[in-house]
Amino acid sequence: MQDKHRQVITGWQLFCLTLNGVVATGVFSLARDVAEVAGAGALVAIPLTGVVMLVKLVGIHLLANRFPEQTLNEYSYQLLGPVLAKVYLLIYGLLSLAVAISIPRAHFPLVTAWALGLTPKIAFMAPLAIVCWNVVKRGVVVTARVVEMFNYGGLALMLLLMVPVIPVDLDFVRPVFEQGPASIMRGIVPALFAFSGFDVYLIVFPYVRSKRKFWIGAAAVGMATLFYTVTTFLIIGNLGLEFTLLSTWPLQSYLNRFSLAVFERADVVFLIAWIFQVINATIVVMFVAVSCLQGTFPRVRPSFIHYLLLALSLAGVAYPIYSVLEAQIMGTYSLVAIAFLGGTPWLLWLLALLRGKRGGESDAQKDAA
Amino acid sequence: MPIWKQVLQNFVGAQRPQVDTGLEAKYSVQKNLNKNLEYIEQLFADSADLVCRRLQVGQRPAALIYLKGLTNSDLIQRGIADPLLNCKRSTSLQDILSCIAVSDYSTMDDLHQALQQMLDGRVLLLCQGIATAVVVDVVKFPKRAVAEPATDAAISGPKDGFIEAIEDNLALVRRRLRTPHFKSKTMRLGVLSRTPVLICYLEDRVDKQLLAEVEQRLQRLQTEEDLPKVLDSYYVMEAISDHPLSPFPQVLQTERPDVIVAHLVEGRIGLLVDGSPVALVVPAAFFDFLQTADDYYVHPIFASVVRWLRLLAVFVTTSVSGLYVAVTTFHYEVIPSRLVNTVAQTRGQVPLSSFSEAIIMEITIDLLREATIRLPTKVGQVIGVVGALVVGQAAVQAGVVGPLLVIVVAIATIAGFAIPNNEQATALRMLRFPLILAATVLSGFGMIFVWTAILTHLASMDSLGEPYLRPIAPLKPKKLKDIFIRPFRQV
Repeated sequence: MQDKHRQVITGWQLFCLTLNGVVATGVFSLARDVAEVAGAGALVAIPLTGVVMLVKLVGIHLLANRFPEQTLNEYSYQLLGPVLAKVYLLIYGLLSLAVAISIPRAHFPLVTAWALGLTPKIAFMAPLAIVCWNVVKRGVVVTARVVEMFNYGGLALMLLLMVPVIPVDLDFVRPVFEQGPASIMRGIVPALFAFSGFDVYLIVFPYVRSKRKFWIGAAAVGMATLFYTVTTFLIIGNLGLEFTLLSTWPLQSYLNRFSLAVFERADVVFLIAWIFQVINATIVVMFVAVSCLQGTFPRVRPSFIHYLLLALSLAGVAYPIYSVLEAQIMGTYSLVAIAFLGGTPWLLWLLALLRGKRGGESDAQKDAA
Repeated sequence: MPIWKQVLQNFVGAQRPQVDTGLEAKYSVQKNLNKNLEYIEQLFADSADLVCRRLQVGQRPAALIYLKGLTNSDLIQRGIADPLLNCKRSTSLQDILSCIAVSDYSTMDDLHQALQQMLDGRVLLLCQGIATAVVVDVVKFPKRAVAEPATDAAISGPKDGFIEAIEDNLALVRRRLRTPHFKSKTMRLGVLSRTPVLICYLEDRVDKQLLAEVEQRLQRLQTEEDLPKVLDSYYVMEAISDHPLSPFPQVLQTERPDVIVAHLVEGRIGLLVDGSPVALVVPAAFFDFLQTADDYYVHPIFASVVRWLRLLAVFVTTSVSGLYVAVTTFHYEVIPSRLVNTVAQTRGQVPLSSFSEAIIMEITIDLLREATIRLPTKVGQVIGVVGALVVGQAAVQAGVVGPLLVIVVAIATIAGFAIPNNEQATALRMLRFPLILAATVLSGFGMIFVWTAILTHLASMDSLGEPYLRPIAPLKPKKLKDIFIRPFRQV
């Protein structure tokens, strides 16, 4: 267990961790994925997803605030008992590991399609190795520092991508409810997948020394939602709904229409710079996976867990799977992950409430005292 | 300890045999003068500079022991020897002390401790029948005058720099800090060299935990057998660094007393090492190495612009060659169409790949730099001109490299010189090679991966507990402005 008294992260770092845990490769295909189901209603489905995430945040916050000085691993054992807690943390860790693998895997075809047909897969293993060796092993403070560092580039790119430099056709906005509310609700499911990685909030909660934790988390969710919504709006508005649905990577098609004085085609420049954001998200979910697996196997040496995760993630990135099979796995996995990660904080909180379990004083109680 | 750590430790710093200084244990001064002298002569046998001068103080035989060359012989004669020879009463130690005409003296019962003082350039007075040694300060050794620092020069501002004498360096700092809060503690490092090291700080501003940490690290070095000598402050710097294997400097080096004073006022700790004109400042962050004393002696707007340029220089010196390789090898599409023909033509005339071209040029430039750096100025200039002609013109005409690459490498080299700290500039210059390699193998994506590794490494680093990338990561908004903008001094 890390020494909590020395491990402190700031509110800004919490914002970076949560925002960068969310925004990654999803942005490249989100517009198409949601528009496939919801049509122009994607513009409503994505903000609704943000609302769903806020509800999840409330659950996480209630749970974490009930055990303000304890880590997820510690109060899971208290609430669920050793066996169930291990199972819970194992599932949590494996799901996070799956996200950590899926992010580079999702990005890999993008790179090969747009820039390098011959890029070896080892290109994506290098940052994973760096993550495991330098970040996860050194604890929450260094993880937060690294993510914060990369965040500046990612945040700048996000803001840049939200600037409508190319004319947008607003006609597509009109039939936004054309496909009906049911399709909009169905559009939330693929959009939710773009929000995975948010769970780091639960892991780092006891290390944050800020009274406004909830609002920081809400701000990160709001920023991610705004970014996804605006980029989707710009992409569909510029490319048109039909072309967006046909395009494999709609964001890239949109970026390709940029023309700058220095770089005539901006897509590859954005793509290269975006890799920082991808690595950022990988760092966050990898950190979650390591934290949970350490809780599952407390007697195993932490370094062994690091090496094991490194090996698993590298194998996961390198292992060839047929795209159809992969899509099936991802589809199933997404639903399971969403249900598990979204529901369990509420369930745990309910359990704590029913059993009357509480760990330490909450921030509000401390303030009152 | 894991095997790989043992192997690495043996590779990095092989275990040395135990060092015996000869003066560690306590040894009391004897009442018998001859016994004392015999012991000293035995201890310092075959020491050509040891002087053992016997004299008669009243009725009492005595001896002055000192090292020639480290002491002021004129002062010894006028201030110690002559008054002692004329001394009428020598019944007690007080009588003898009252005869000495030098004000700075002390008494010691431990002969080893007294001999340690003698090794620093003081004179030992031993008397028959008195079990106490008198240590008189008449230190005078060859040293150069205070001059403008060669490697830390500033266009405006003070021109005095540290020299190799620690007392003079302390005086240079003290002159600028006329406050009782300025403190300086002495420690001796190097089991054999016993080099004095001064820990300087402002009592009311320093972080006490940081001070304790520095003292603890230095104390650890006091008995460190792997550190028999401290010949320069670099020895200390290397030994107290949190990440000694990292190429990035974690301790700030300066030859300027005004710089060290500025850092002391900010609550940091300065280390002065005897025999070194370079003082150390801890803790130091990455961005501290991009600031110079000049920043505070010119208009804030100019200083701020220069700071931005230096930040740009960090990126240019590390990445521009790699970018050239990545763009000309993989990402032609990003080049504007009006320029792409020119680039293609110049590349077409060169038989080598972009990678070979860039590596040849980078190595040549580094060789030139290394060759000229230690040559006399005039010869260095000649080599510089020849190098520029060979590299700049002949190589292009011969078709070995393209003219565009010459421009790129020249810009990268010039940008490297814009980074004020030599240690950091060298570390950043070295990064070009992995970046070029990554750009060759994995294009621009490879460069990002290398930068990921670099940034992760930098963000993981600490300098005595302070994050190396502060105030960027973790973000300290109040301190942020001093990185990008030199603050105005408003009253």
